[in-house]
Amino acid sequence: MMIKMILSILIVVGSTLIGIIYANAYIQRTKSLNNIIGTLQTLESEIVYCATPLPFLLRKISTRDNQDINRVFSKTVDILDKKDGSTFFNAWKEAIHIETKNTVLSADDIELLVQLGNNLGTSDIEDQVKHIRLAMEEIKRNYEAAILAQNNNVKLCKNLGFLFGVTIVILFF
Amino acid sequence: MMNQMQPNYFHQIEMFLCPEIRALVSKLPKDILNAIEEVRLRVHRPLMIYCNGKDHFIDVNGKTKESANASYIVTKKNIENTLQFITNYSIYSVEEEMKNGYITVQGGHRVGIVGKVLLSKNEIKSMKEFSGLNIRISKEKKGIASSILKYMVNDKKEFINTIIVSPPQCGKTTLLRDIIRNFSEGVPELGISGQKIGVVDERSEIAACFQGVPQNDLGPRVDVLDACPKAIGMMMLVRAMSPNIIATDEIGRGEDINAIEEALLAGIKLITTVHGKTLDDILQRMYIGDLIKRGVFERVVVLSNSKGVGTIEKVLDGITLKELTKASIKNKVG
Repeated sequence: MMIKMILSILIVVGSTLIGIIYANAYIQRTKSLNNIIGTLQTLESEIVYCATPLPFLLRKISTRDNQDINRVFSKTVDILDKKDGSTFFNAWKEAIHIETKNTVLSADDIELLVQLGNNLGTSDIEDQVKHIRLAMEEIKRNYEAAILAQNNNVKLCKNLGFLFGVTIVILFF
Repeated sequence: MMNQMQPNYFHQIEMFLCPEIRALVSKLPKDILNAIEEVRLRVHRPLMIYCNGKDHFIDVNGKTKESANASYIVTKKNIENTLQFITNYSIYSVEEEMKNGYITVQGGHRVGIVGKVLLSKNEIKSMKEFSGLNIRISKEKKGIASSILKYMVNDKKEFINTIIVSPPQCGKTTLLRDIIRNFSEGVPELGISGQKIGVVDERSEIAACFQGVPQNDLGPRVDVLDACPKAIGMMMLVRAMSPNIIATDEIGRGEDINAIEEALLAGIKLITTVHGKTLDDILQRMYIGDLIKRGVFERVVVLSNSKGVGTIEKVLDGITLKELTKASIKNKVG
């Protein structure tokens, strides 16, 4: 009886935790997207007002936080610093590939970042601003969708996790 | 021996070339690599280098050729990638410099750029669709001024106004740079003490500033006004930096002459250069000719490439126009 009791509690706690982890993924994604938007804003103003070259600029921004985008920045500069003839776009793609392995970002978010990298540094200031704004707009759209998903799903995931655990307990014991 | 003492200039620009071209050019023999003056990339045209007064095609195996057959054809991608490395992956950061058609990179080397120019209100706004690059390796040649320094001071060991007359590509800027360095350091053997020198570097060639730091050694007593128009720059230096000598490159326009008069009134000595084959050439010119006829410049140095780049053809007394040297001096260093 005692063992049954303990097992049931473990199962319920476990499945509730899984529910919370799923719920957290939604929260993390909105946070991460929000951070990307803020970072792109900094990038834009630095380019417009200081015209700082990208390697210095990315290094500077990457030290401010430890979000996905900051790690991508820092990795890109690491690759460029090797000076082995890799272009900015290649370094950027590689950095995104390495740094988003365990990310909560969706494939669509990542694709938007990759596209931005294709245009960074390749034109004059006016043009750069356009590209960054465009990327920002699209990420903002994803961000809004992410908030909606978060509102709908966070509670759902948590409840589902708990209820799933309870169901299993009822069915098996 | 001399070659070993020279720094490896190609090594400094190597990292600016895109990997494909870097691989080809690095295969060239050492003596050619050390002599390279220009690397030229033109879209859909053969890759070329210029050295020892001649240009060469480079073939797909990294060998020099006299004819364009089988030479490596530069692609648009090559140019775009090379430009990325030159501008530190940020074309926007050199937008202002690009309006002049060239940018100065680390080491003082210059890269000329052509492409499609965008105008706005009759001014160059920016450039895109780049179609050609000319990477010019700048070589500091320390010591080339040594043979003429003694002509550039009077009996009291004071610097006297000097003008260098030279056709293009005969090393006038290189010579000017070395003269500046010598006078700014001082030459104890000739009893010349160090002088404060103001340099107006309109075309960023003399000091070759990269991010505000002169890439060429000009000695300890030099103030550089980078990319400043000569006439305004000379006035600024006179008022702000109290130089003993003002150095500029390639004067000739009317407003330059006014600025020179102003500087002379303030008791400042001048060293400058002018484009031209012979002195008679220059005497015909409107502004600068008058200045020389009035005896403003006490020394005239004429360069040529009759015995190699940088030959000092003659040194003249600017007032009597008599030659002070007996024969032309071969002046190839390194």
